[in-house]
Amino acid sequence: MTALAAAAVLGVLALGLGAGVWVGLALYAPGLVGLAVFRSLPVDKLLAQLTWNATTTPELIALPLFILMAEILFHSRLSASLFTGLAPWTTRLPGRLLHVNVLGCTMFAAISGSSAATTATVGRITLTELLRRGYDRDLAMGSLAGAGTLGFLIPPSIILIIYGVLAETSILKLFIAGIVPGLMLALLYMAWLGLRATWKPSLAPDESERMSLAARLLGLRHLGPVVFLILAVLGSMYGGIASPSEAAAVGVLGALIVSAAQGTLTWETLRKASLGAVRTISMIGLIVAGAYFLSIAMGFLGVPRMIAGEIAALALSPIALIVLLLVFYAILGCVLEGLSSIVMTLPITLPLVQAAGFDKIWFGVFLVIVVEMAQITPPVGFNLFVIQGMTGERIGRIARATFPFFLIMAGLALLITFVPDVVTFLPNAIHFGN
Amino acid sequence: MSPIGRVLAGIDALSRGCGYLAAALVLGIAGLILAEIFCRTALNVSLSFAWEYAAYFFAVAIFLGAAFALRTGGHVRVMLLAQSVPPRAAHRLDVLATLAGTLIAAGLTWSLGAFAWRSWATGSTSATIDETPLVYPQAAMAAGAALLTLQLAARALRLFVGEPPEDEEAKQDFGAG
Repeated sequence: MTALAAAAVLGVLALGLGAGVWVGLALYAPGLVGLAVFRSLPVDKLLAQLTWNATTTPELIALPLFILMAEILFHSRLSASLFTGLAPWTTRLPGRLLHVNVLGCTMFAAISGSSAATTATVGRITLTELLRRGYDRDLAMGSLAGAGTLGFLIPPSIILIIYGVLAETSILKLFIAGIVPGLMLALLYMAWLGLRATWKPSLAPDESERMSLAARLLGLRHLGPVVFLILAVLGSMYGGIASPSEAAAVGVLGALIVSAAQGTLTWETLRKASLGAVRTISMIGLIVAGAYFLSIAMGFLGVPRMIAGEIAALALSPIALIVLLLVFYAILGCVLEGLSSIVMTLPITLPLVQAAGFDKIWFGVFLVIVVEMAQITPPVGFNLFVIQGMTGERIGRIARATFPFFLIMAGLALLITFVPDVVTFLPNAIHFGN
Repeated sequence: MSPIGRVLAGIDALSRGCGYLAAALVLGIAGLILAEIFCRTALNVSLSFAWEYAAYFFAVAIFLGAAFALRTGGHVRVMLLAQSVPPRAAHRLDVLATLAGTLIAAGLTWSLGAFAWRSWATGSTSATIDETPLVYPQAAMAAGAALLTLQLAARALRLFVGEPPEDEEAKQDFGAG
């Protein structure tokens, strides 16, 4: 009976998603069918109650705020000042301005919760500049797509907020756990860019403009707005003054201040930013609600327990299980966007990895890295879409350019699997008042 | 304008209007939380309603903005199959997906509507000291879901008559994803 219910649930889900039903709505379908057919539950009442419970979860308030903040900053001149401030410092590195992609995304990721927003905001200046100056097209696009994914890993992170709510674990600890792997990823990207440029110096044109140290130091003032926002958001969170949601509200205020200081704060930008935010919030909110309904419905039907039993029968070692999941999510990521693939599989995969002895916080970061890989794999990879929108390049070429960065990410995923302490030592070392 | 055109334009105007309403709610969330931080740190009083209302604003904004998001291509969907079959089959698939979406959204509307109705009939309030009548946010969510259902039905109609299903012009406004 359970096997039949599981087949029905997964079948309806695959059918709905495959036919192109919008993810947020498609996630509702298998639970509706499964509960109506296999359990005599008042589905009509559950549907509204669970949707209400999911969307009024207090921890989720950080979500619309971080999205709004990113939208306001997208319409400001923040990315231009990032470029001006960072560029002079990269001229002595092999690969030169290519590193601005990585450094810019790393800094912007510390104030943005989304990879697509990071790619779009940083890339609209850096990519144009790099291509104009004759840098290698593939390296410029690939490093942007790769570095853009830092948006989800380096806190704040929309995916970690949603994971924290669904997995019932501390969002703040998840945020802290993302820092070290995020910085490692950034360093690995930069090392790769340096290596490539050393092998083939023509990838990065020699620019004569060398600025004095004094001029470069003075140029750092352009990083002021970003540093101000990082301090406002992360400072208020880690300083213990504010919860992630409150830090996000401070971030919105900070973004408005930066936008006003740069002279970009008009009614028109506020209109575009808030409407743009509504679009993203509605999309993500429906997905979260649908996934919550799906997870409860699957629980009623005993699907996670059944699949856990099947997997347990395979007697996999914990490492083999994680490698299996890595492959599973990489394949899923080819078809589905990252957040959707996490929320719809979590009710099944989280109990599995917990039973195998892995930590919830660790798994959250692992999942983020895995879905970051999904962000840059075709045919569905949001960062690729963003870069396609900017360059008009074919998805296939952008994906090929991004492939080395995909491999670096896969390497990091394996590293944290064999050395979980990379993720867990920092959140375990820091003790919170609350 | 044909009668059908007028109906479609009406649904669009409603979607846009509710999109603006949702945008105001999102700004309102920021305002509420900032007010709460200010009152707590500077005046040493906590605004008991701030968190509660922010949560309602979020839930309502999701649904009020849903139709607008659909019209401007904001909701994600898997396009793998649609992109790998001939255009005619892709068109049929789109109609099918739109009708399936309409059905699910209609179920959601019905369920949320009944939910709000029960809250109204029993006078149920939130379990906080403010005792907010829950019918208001719940009815607003149901209204948003109803509008999403209408916009989905409108999309199906557009596909039938061969009009572009999404508002390409409005899409240009959004870049940050």
